[in-house]
Amino acid sequence: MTQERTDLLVVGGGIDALAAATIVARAGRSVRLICSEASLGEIDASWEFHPGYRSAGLRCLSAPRPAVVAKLRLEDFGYRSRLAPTTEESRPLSEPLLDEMAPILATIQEFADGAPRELIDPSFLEMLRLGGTLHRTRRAMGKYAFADALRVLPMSIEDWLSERFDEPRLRAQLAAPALFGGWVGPLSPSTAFLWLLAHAGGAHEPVGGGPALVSALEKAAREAGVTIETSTTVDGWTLEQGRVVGASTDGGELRAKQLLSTAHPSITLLERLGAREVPAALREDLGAYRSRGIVAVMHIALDCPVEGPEQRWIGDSPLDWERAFDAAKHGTIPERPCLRLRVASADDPSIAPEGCSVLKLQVFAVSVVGPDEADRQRETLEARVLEQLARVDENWPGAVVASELITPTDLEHHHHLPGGHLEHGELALDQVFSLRPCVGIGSYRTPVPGLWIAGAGTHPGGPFPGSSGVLAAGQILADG
Amino acid sequence: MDFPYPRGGTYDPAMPIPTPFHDRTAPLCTSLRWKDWAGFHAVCRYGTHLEAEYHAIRHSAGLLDVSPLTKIAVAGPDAAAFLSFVTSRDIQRLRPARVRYVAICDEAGKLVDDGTVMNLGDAGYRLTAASPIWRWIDRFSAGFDVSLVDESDSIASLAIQGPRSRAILEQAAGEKIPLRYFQMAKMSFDGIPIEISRTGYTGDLGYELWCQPEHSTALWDQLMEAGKPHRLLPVGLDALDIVRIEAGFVLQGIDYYSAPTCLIESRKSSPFEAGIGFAVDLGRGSFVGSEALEREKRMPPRWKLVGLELSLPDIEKLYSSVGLPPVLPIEACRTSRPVHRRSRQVGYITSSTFSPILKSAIALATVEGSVGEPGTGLEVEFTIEHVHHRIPATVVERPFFDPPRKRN
Amino acid sequence: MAAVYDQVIIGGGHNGLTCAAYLARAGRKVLVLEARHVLGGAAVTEEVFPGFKYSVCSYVVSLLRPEIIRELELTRHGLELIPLECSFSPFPDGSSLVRWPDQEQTRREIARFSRRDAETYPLFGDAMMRLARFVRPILEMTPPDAIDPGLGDLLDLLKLGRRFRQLDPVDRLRKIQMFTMSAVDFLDRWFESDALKAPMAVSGIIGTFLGVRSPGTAYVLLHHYMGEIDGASRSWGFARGGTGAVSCAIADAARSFGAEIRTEAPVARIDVRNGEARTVVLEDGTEISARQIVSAVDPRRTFFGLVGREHLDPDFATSIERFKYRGSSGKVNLALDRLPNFTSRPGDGPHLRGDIAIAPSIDALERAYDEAKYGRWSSRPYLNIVIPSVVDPTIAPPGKHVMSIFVQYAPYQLEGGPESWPQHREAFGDTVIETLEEYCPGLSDSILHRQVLTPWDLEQEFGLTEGNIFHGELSLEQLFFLRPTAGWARYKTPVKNLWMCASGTHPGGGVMGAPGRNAARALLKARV
Repeated sequence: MTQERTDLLVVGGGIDALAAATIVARAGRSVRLICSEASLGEIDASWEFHPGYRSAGLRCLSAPRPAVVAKLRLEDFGYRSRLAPTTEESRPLSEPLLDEMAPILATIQEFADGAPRELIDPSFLEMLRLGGTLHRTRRAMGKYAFADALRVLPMSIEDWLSERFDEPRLRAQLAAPALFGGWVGPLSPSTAFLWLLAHAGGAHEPVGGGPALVSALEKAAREAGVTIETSTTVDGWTLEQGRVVGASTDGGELRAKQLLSTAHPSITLLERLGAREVPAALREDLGAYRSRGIVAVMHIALDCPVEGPEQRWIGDSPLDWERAFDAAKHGTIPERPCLRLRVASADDPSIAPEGCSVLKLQVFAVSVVGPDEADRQRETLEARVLEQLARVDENWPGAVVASELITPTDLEHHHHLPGGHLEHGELALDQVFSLRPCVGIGSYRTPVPGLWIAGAGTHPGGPFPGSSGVLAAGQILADG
Repeated sequence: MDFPYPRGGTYDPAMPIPTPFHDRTAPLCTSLRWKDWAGFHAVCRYGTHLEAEYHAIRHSAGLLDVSPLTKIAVAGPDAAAFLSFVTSRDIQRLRPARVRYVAICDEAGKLVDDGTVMNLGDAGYRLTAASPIWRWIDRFSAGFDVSLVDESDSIASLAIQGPRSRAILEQAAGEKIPLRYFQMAKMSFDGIPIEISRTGYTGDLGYELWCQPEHSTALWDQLMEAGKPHRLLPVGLDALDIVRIEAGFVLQGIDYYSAPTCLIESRKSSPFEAGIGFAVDLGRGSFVGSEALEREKRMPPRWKLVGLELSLPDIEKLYSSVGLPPVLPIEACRTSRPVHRRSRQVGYITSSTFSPILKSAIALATVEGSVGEPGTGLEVEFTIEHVHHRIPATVVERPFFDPPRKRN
Repeated sequence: MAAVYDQVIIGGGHNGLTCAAYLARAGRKVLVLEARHVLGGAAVTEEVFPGFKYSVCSYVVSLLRPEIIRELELTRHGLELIPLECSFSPFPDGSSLVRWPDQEQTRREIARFSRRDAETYPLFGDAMMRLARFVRPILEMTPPDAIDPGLGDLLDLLKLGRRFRQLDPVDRLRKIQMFTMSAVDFLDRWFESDALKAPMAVSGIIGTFLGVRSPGTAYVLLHHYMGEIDGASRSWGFARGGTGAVSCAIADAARSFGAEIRTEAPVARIDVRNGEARTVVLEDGTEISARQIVSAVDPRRTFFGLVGREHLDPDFATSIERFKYRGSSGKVNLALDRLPNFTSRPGDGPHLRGDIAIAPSIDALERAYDEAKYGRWSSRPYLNIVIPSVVDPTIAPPGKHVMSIFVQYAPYQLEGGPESWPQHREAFGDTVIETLEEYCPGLSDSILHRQVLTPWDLEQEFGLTEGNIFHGELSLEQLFFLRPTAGWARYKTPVKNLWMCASGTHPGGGVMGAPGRNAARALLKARV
C-alpha cells in the first residue's frame, strides 16, 4: 500500500495533539491524526462507565490560556469557560493570597505562554530577558513582597499557610490543589510553588470539563482539514537514515515528513524508538524523569440528586493529607484517602439520568502496585473511599448504583501512562519549563530528525491544557 | 552478592589485595618493591637492580603478572555490533582468533580508555582495558542483544615478552605456536586450558596468556620451568614502563587522562591528540563519539603526541659544566616537564626514560600540532644540581624501537 | 556614658569568638560575654563523667574554614585536627559498607552491592567537587541585599552569574537540580544500591526537619565534598581534645589579639533607646556599653529575648518570628568500658576510626522522618556515631572509650509539647541504645555512663532555640540572602549598632566559623 506522504502525522488523541494538528493544518499543511482509542480525548474523554452514566474525563482541567483559545478560535466551536467551583469558605481566603502573588502568577503565565526559555545555557540576550522579567515582577509586587515571594517558592505549602492561618481544616482546603500534580504531601518543600503553578492555570475551567474541550477541539481540527483516524494502534516509529519518516501501525505503515507524538515522553522516545537511536545521556535523563502516579480517579453513579457545593476537598487537616501521602510513599493504601470531590453531573447534567448524579473523585494518595496486588488494592481502596464519602453524606453509600476506580496501576497499563501519573510526569521545580521532560528536548524538538514531542510531559505541562500543542506546532511551522 | 575474591578468601578490608600469582611473585620479589595497581599488589621490580629485567625483555624473555587489567566478556548476537559502537574500531570486521587495539571515547570524542578486543569465536569477545569501564560501556548497551560480564577478577593473566618468548611457549606447550601478530588461540598447557594472544605492551615479540585463577600457580611454574634455559626472568612494572616508552605506547592516567574523571576540559584528549588516531575507524556509520571525531579529523590537530629524542651531548655538556659525570638512571620518569620552542611553551613531556638499547634519552610529549612534525627542533626543561636548564630535543617517529621480530 | 568597648559580643560560641578574634586583630577593643562556665557554645568539650571528655554537642569539625585556621593561626593556638578516616555503615542483614580514602578499596566495597555504583562513585565525587568549587566563594561573601540591592550587590550577583555560566552546561543543570531535588531523587540519577544511597542521603538532612525524599535536600550533599576542595588544609575530622578545642584555640587567638573574654556572664537584655542599641545589661545588673553590640545567639533570642519586640518594626518582627527552627535531633554521649563490637565487622579495626552511620535504607530513613512529622521521635532513628577516643587517647581513660551518637529525628515539638521531653528523655535514650544494639549486640553491657540530650535540653542548656543545632533550619528559603530574613542578611540588623555574627546568618551552621568571619569583615567595613 503506497500512501501519499502527509506533511505531519500527529500521534495521540488528546488536547495537545488536537491543538497542534489544528494549527499546522490551518497553515496549509496536510495533517493526519491517529489515536489508539475509539474516541478522541485520551484521559480527558467521556465514556459510559455504567448504562446511563458517563464519566467526565479523569482530570479537573483548567481553562486553556486565553492565547490558546484565541489562536484556535475555540469559541467558534462551542467552547465556553466558567469560574471553577471552589468551596465557599476557602475562596475568600485564597483570593488575597493570589492577589498578593499575582505578579508571580503572571510571570509563570508569561513563561507558559511562550516557547520554553533556555534556562541552562542562556544566551546573553536571554539573560537580559530573564533579568527584565524579574525586574518587572519585582516592580509590580513591591520590593518587600518580591523578596518574600522568593522565600515562599521553595517552601512547603503547609509552612506557608501556617504563617497566615491557624485553622488546620482551612489550611487543608487551601493546600489541596497543590498536591495533585506532583508526588508530594503538604509538608514537602516546594509545594508552595506547585500551589502557585496550579493556580497559574487560572480560576476558570471549560464548561463541561475535559470532554467539552475535546469536542470543541475536534470540531476545530476537522474544520481545519485534519484527517482523524481513531482505533489505530502504533507499534513504533519508522526510521530511514536516522530520520523518522512515519509510524508503523496495525493499519500498516503511515508515512509523513514530520511526526509529532503527544504520548508520555518515555513512550515517544524509549518505547517507540529503537534504543540505539537515543543517545545514552538522553536515555539516562529520561530514565530519571519522575512520573510516579499518586492520584486515582473514581467515578460514582448515584441514583439521587446531590445538593451542596460542586467541589469539595475531603481531608480534615494538612496532616491527614500528609498521612495519605506517607501511605502511598511507602506503597501502602491510606487508611483515610483524601479526596477532591466533583459533582460532575452538576456541570454537565447530560451525563447522568434525570434525578441522578455522577461524582468524580480524585483520590489522594495511591501508588502503583504490582499485578498481584492490583485487585486487593482496588477493593480496599474502594471501601475506604466509600467510608470517607459516608462521612460527607451518610446517604451516599446507599445511593451508589455503580462505580469505576482507575488507579495509577490502571493508568500505567491501560492508559499508556508510564508510572501512572495523570500529568505525564510529576510537576516539580526541576521538571518544569524547559527542564520538562529533560534538558535537550525541552523545546519539542528531539535528537531524532523528524520527530517532535508535545503533551503534558513537555513545557508548560498539564496546568495549561493545549499550550504545549500550540507551542510545538509553532516550532514545527517555523522549522519549515 | 559477594564480590568475587581472587583468592577465594573471605572479605578483608585491607588493600591492596594479592593477584592470583601472588604466591609465586611474593617470594621472588626480594627487593620488596611493590605498588598498588588497580587495588592489587603489583611488583615494581623483583631485585634491586632494574637492568636485568629490562634486558630480559629485550634479549631473552620476561614474565609479567598483568592480572589487574580490566577484562570484560562481551557475548550475544549483537556483540560485534555493540563493540563497534562503543569502541573506535569496526569490530564486525574482526575475524575470529584475531585481536585489535581499540580506543574508547565519550560522546564528545574524548578518550576514556584504550585496550584490546579479542574475538574468541563462539564464546564472544573479550575487551581488555586499563581501568574499570564495565559501567561505562554498559551505558551504551540498550538496544543491543549483548551480555557484559566483568571478568577482571576471574581471569588471571600473564605476559611473556621478549625474543625468546615463542621458544619458551613452544617448549612449555610441546607444540608449534604459529600465531601471527595480533592473533590468538585457545590451547592447553599440560592440561591447563588457556587463551594465548600475540599481544603485549612492550613493542617486542611477545604473548599474553589468560587462564582461570585456580591454574595460575601451575601455569607460572610451567613457564618458569620451560623458560629456565632461555633465561626467562620475572619482570616488574618498572622495566615495563621503560620498554613501553621505547615502543611509543601511551598510558592512561599518565600520557592522557580518562575523560569522565577530568575535572577540567583541558585535561581531556581525543585519540588523535593522544597519538592513537590510527585506531579510529571512521566512515562506517555512527559510533560513540564518531561525530566529534569526524569533525576533528577534518581540522588540523590542536595537540599531537610525539616522540622526543633529547640531545645526549647537550646533557653531557651540562653535567660536565658543573663537574659531574652524566647521570641517566635506567628508570622511566612520569614527571611532567615543559617543552619550549624558542621562548614559548608549546607542550609538555609526560613520560621519559633513558633507553638502554637505543642509548638515548627519549620521551613522549604532547605538543601543539604545528610543531609536531618529525625533525622539528624543540627545547626541554632539564634540572641539574638544582638549576634549571633547557636542552635541545628533536621530534622523532614513534615507536623509538621497533624490531622486526615484533611482527614476523 | 562613654563607650568603654568598641564591640561587645554576646555569646562565646565558635562564631562569636571568631568574630571577636577578627575584630581584635583589627585593633578593636572587644569583649565577649559567655553565659556558661565554658567557652564554645555548642562547640564545646566537657568532662561530663570523670575521665571522659565529650564533644557534648557538635562532634566533628566539618567545614572549619581553612582561611580562619590560617589567619588566626589556630595551629599555633593549639588546634590539632585528626582526619576522619572513613565512613562505616552496618546494615541489619549483617552486611556493611565502608567508604575509605582509598579509591580502589571503596570500589571493591561498593561492588559487593552494585558493580555499577562502584564504578560511578568516583565520578560522582568528581562532579560534586566541580560544583563545590562553585559554592565555596559564596560561603565567604556577604550576601546581597534582596530588598534594596545596591550597585555592589548587583555586581556580586553578576559575578555569580558569570561563574555559573562558566560551569559546564551539565554541571549547571546539576546545580539547579541540587537546589530543587530531594537527596534521594538526586542520588537515584547516579546510583542503584540502597546500601550506598542511604548513608549518602542522610548527609542531606542533618539538622533539618526534612526527609531524604523532601525536595531541596540534595544541596546539602555538596557539603560533604566541600572539605575535599580545601585540599591539603581540609578539615573533616576531630579536634584533638574534642570540638571544644576549636573554640579554645579561637579564644586563645582572640585573647592574643587583645580581646577580653568573660564566662559566667549571662546577658539579661540589650538596652535599646531611640532604635539604637547602646548597652548590654547582664543578669547581675552590670551595664556594659559599646559602640556596637554583636549578637552570637540565634535570631529569635537576639530580637525577642534580648532586644524586645517593642523596639522592632512589626514587619521585621513577623519575619523573625517566621524563621523556622524546629530542632530535629538529639545527642547521646556514652562512656564505654570497651570498644563496640559490630556484628558485620567484629572487633577493633580501621572502620571504627571514621564516622559510623546507622542508615539501613532509604525507606527506613523516610519512615524515621514520617514519625517525627506527627510529633514522635523515630522508633528507629538515623544515628551518626563517632568514637573519637580511638584516635585521641586524651579524652578517655586508657582502654575506655567515649562514643558520641547524633540522633535524628527527635522533634522539638513532641506530641505532648516540648516541655514533656524531660519525662521522655530516658525512653528516648533507650530507643537509641536499642537501635544500636541491633548492630552491635552487647553494647549495653559496656556502657559506664550515659548522657542524653533532647532538643529541649539543647534549648535549655545551650540556648539553641527549639534545639536547632544550626540556629535555624538550613532549608532553601532560609539560606543566603534570606538568612535570617530578606534585607537583613548582611549581619547588620534594623536596630542601630546591633549586629549578628552566628549560624543564624549566612552561610549558616556547622563548626565553620564563616558567619563570624564574614560578620567581622562587614562590621569593619561599615562606616559607623
